[in-house]
Amino acid sequence: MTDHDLLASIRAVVGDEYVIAHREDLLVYEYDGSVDRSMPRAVVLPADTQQVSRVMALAYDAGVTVVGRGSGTGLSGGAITPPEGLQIAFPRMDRILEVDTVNRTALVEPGVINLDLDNHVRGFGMRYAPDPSSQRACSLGGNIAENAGGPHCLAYGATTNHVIGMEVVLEDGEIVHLGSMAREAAGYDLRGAFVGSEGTFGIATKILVRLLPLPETVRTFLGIFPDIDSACTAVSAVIGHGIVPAALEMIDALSIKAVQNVTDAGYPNDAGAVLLIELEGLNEEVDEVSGEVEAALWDTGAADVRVAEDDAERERLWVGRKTAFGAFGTIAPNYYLVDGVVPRTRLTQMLRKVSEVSERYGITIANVFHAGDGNLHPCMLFDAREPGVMEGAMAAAAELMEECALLGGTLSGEHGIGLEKKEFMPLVYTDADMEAMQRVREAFAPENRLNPGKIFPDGSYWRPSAHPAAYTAGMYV
Amino acid sequence: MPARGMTRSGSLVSQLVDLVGTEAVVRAADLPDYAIGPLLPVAAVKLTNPDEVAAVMAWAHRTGIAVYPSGGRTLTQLGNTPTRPGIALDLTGMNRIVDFQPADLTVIVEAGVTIEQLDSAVAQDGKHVPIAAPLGDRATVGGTLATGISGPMRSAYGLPRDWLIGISVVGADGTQSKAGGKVVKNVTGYDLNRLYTGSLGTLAIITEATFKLAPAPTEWAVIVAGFDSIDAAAGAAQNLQGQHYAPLGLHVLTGEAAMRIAPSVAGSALSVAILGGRPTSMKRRVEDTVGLWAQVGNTVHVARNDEANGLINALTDLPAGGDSPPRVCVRINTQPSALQQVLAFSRVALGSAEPPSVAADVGFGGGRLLWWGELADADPALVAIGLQGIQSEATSLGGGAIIERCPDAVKALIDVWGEQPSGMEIMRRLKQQFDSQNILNPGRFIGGL
Ligand SMILES: Cc1cc2nc3c(=O)[nH]c(=O)nc-3n(C[C@H](O)[C@H](O)[C@H](O)COP(=O)(O)OP(=O)(O)OC[C@H]3O[C@@H](n4cnc5c(N)ncnc54)[C@H](O)[C@@H]3O)c2cc1C
Repeated sequence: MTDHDLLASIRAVVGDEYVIAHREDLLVYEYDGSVDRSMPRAVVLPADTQQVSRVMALAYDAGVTVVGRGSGTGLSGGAITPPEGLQIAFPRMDRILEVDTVNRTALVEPGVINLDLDNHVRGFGMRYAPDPSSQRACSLGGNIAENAGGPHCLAYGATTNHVIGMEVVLEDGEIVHLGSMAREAAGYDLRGAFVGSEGTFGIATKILVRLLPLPETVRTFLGIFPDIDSACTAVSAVIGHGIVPAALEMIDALSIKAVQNVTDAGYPNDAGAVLLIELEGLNEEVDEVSGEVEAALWDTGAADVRVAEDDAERERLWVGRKTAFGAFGTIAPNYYLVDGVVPRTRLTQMLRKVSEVSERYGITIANVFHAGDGNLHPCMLFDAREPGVMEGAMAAAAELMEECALLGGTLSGEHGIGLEKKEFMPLVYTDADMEAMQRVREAFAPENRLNPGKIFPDGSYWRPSAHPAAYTAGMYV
Repeated sequence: MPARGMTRSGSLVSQLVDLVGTEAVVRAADLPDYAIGPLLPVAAVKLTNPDEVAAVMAWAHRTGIAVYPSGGRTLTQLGNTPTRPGIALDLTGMNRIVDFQPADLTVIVEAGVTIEQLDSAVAQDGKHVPIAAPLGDRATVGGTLATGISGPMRSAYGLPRDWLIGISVVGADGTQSKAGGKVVKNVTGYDLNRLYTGSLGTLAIITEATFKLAPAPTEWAVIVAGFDSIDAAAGAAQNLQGQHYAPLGLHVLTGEAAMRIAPSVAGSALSVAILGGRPTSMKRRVEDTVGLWAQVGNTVHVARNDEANGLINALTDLPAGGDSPPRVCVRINTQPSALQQVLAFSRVALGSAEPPSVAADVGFGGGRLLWWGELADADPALVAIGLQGIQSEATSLGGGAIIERCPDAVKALIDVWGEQPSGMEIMRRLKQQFDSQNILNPGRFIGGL
């Protein structure tokens, strides 16, 4: 089948207007939230599982690579499609099919936006716990593929803890069901293996997620610290005290400045760092733990500890946190971040390394991250038009990943490996470790037609182009 | 001292002695301890480190002999009958707590560490890994992960896979590898932690596991209420599940299971709630739960601390433990909304034999059907048909049923894992990829894998 024939056959399946193949129309599909870019051959917008299956079968027969695309907010190049490949995107498959209040589940299509799901189920007294900071834009399909995290994953776990079952289309178009309607199913945990497989195992077309009841009480604290070291000590003190809050986020001075530039989140402009801490549960429990959290913050040198007085103030504190990446656009035109993880007691050490690297490379680095999990997001801010600066940022990122590995941590806590970090995999895994992983991919996708060239090192060095932060700011948050 | 197994299969044992030394080779007289149903292993080795495991696996891979990994041997009943003779690989000698980091909330242990040993190692610092297995004083971490077995608080704490953050394994060809790491959040590469958990040792041999920890409740209570009817017990339990103060575990028990847990609480069915927390919230939890149930139950008994822990252990041990474990046990996996259908099994006799006792897990969904009596003596063909009927009913409810225990004669007639799921082909390819010679626990897993 020629390329032209393939697109014609696909048009016959999904309808003419749902195959995008003109250069100018493809521009937005060239990017995701990361630094890389590549224009796909065409983008297909199927309406349902059957169409996905038929399109995949056609591409499979034609020997063409397929890459799924959610909202394109991914930060590791997961949705970047090689020039000869097809992208399948899900703006037409964005329905919440069912909300079950007895079993506390929702059945959704992959194009549903994370926050839309959460808002919808809150009407039923429930919530969808995984809340990536990009939740206003990112899709459930993308969340499944990356095993997305978010502030509240500290207490409730990442996406994988909230997925019960899935309908998936395999590379050859076969439709399979992974997991079941029950929280446990016989056989290998294919559901568990699929979540976080970065679009290389199959395309998720329906997702059954677990919902949680809303807590009786929520209390949100803002711990204000003179410097980032004391804020890190406070994180260790809280966790070491045997308290795992619902969320525990760090925002450093530079990030505070950026946030306050675009919105008044209520963060003091002169703080060295703030911690955003949320407790949830029974009234009595939250009361009891609150005292301990406050004591831990004061003991570790807090300049002030504030409690959100009402929902509006809580919301404001969170908007600040979730706007941070967009707000970086007010400081520099471009950003690039990595998301290494270290054991929580190594946070201070790791952040010292971040500031040392920042000085040595002469690159501004802001830190806003999931401190309770030890999941950093050192965010390099620069102007990519300056010669050599992008290369410097990449080299700095490499050093930071190495340091995470050295401290007993890992490369990525929630954004995935994708294209961006694949050459760094040997920092944490041996060849044997990666071979075992490849075996799983062989079982799901023997022909490796889905999102090939991601995750595993293959020496194919790619030349990144900087991602414009301002663009992200307007587009996503 | 030469192993006495020599006389059974001389060259095999001498090869094992060459590989791992005389001390590691189990005496022939002890081989019956390692039986899996009707299968008696031809030899057994008790290993103390991953290099030995790797050496034995590389050898087994070359020679094609089957290998049956073995932990505390509390759940050897689980799975189909092995299809080939082979050697048992006893991992209970690998029982070190490798690294405990209370401030990071992580712990690394060898696979042969028992659940009780793990609990007490982390308890000194007020932490726990909230996984549970029957007979926790013998059940090992490796066995708990391999079987994916969970305890009565699974509805709140999840399954073992939810606490595992890193794993080391020896593959079928003797290659050592690891996945995950020792940080609590990690998407670096595929999630093999979840793949190995529940794979019943058919993909690789687990040698080490890293768990994340949680702060343990400082107080425990178990509230047991007796009801006049199963429906009343179910209604009371469901009502509690809907409250903000819903417990960590919530069960409805009928028949013999109820008798065994709380013989002194009167009624034809029991509702049991497991509560844990800090002192002030516990006061509220206990009061509100008692308040809710006192209006509808016959008697409400509040057990605290030691008595509560005893009851939690008894609930955990129900499917496999005690002096007289059930002779037939089925684990039903369904949504919580299928509670009525699960409880209805208590009225259905298989063939002409006794109806089961039901232990329904209200919060998680599903539960267990347990038979202590005559069913195990009934005509195996009839029992097999009956059990398959339960499996297909559970499947039609959107879940499934696993026959955890039954007589060998029944097992020979069924797949204990139930109907083959939609992803069966992927599962076959996985097995082929990880164990091309089919030497790891051959035949015991779903669809004969
Ligand atoms: C400002 C900002 C903040 C962020 N904050 C967080 C955060 O707090 N936590 C976090 O985890 N991430 C965060 N991210 C990263 C990103 O939002 C997540 O990785 C998200 O899950 C990606 O979803 P998406 O719909 O945009 O997917 P895309 O970027 O479109 O795709 C991501 C991957 O998913 C695959 N995919 C998409 N749909 C499917 C499908 N149906 N089936 C199979 N594979 C599919 C793609 O092939 C690709 O590999 C942030 C990103 C930005 C820009």
